[in-house]
Amino acid sequence: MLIELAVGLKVPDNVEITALRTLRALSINVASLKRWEYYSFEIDENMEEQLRETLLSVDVIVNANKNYALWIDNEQADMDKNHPRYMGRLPSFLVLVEEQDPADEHLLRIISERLLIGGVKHVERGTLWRISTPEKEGEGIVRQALEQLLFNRHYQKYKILGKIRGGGE
Amino acid sequence: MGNKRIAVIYFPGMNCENETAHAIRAVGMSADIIRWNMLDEVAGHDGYVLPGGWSYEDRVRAGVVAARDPVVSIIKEEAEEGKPILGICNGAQILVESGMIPGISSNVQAALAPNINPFIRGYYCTWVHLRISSVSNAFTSLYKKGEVVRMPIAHGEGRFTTTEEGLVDYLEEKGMISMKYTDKNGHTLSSFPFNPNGALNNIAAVSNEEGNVMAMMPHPERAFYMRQVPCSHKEGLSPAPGRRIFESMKKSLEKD
Repeated sequence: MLIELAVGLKVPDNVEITALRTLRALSINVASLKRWEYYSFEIDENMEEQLRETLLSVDVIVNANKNYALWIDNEQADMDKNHPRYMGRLPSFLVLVEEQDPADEHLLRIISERLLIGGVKHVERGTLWRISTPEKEGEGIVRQALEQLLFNRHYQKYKILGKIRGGGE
Repeated sequence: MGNKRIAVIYFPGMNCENETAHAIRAVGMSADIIRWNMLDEVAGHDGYVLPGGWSYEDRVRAGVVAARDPVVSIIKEEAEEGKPILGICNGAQILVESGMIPGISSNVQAALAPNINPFIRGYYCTWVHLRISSVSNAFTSLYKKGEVVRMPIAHGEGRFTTTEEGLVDYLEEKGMISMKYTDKNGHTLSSFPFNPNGALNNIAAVSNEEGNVMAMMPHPERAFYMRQVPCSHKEGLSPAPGRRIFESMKKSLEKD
């Protein structure tokens, strides 16, 4: 089975702020940006509970002083602002940017050799962006933001995971 | 012939501007450290160096935010006039993300991607052996082709890569690959530690076709005096291999 985790910052995210300013300076009409570190774990079903519990309690990918973590189990819109699928006033797009080979062997080794959690077969990591735009042709704007700033096609790839309807629509 | 004036372009987060300016001055050119937002003071220099560091804290990707900065458009115009432009480490990342390297089309044609290293994820620093593969650009003319030199690297995102079909062959054919990572005998071994970041074809430095713009991941300003080179302290201030990058730049300007 596959479980997915989004890790965000409790403090203001400088990357988010700089990316938004840069996109606006490039005249790309993005209203807001939100960023999370994204992890997916392919695991044996009986290991799910142990992995979920351990990953959130040890300081490997989540530092409780500065990070929050959310399991992103379903595709329902959410009312929590920190959730990737938060439904804001404007429509937004959820985009995953990863390296062309997103496998994270280092993290897999940490999980199996240091945290001693068995049953984890594969780990991938990437960056999850929620991009809101006031434009009607929102997807075109999102692709422009990706091409101009948020990804480099020579070693990365992106997937638009879905559109989140805006509350003001 | 007056001193050639070189602008060292400083972006927020860079940290090698002073030693780079020192290296420029030590070979007899003058160096002005120009901040990224002093746009009126950029044009009109004889040459430009984008030094190393972490411009904009490497946010999003190393070099990409600086590459979208208005000052880079001015540097592009200066490059089109044939002025020498050198990017060192973070400066190299900016030149690649701006499309100035390799500069065959107006698009971004390559990346300096996160290192592939079997032991460490992220930042890695060490001394490497480099083979000078081309001496036909503004920054390598005082080396001998095939010469093996040592310089330090210090980066997390320095793996030259591209998805452009045939690009690396084109770079090889046109002599645009200026330096390659090798072993001490100059053999290009693709494995770690000889290729310290997993770069395609062991590429450590690339120039544009005209030879006036070069992006290099190693730090020549940190291999300027022999006292900076490991196990060479007794030789003190005598020249180390990185010095000839700056001397070549000066020579290219004096030719004009």
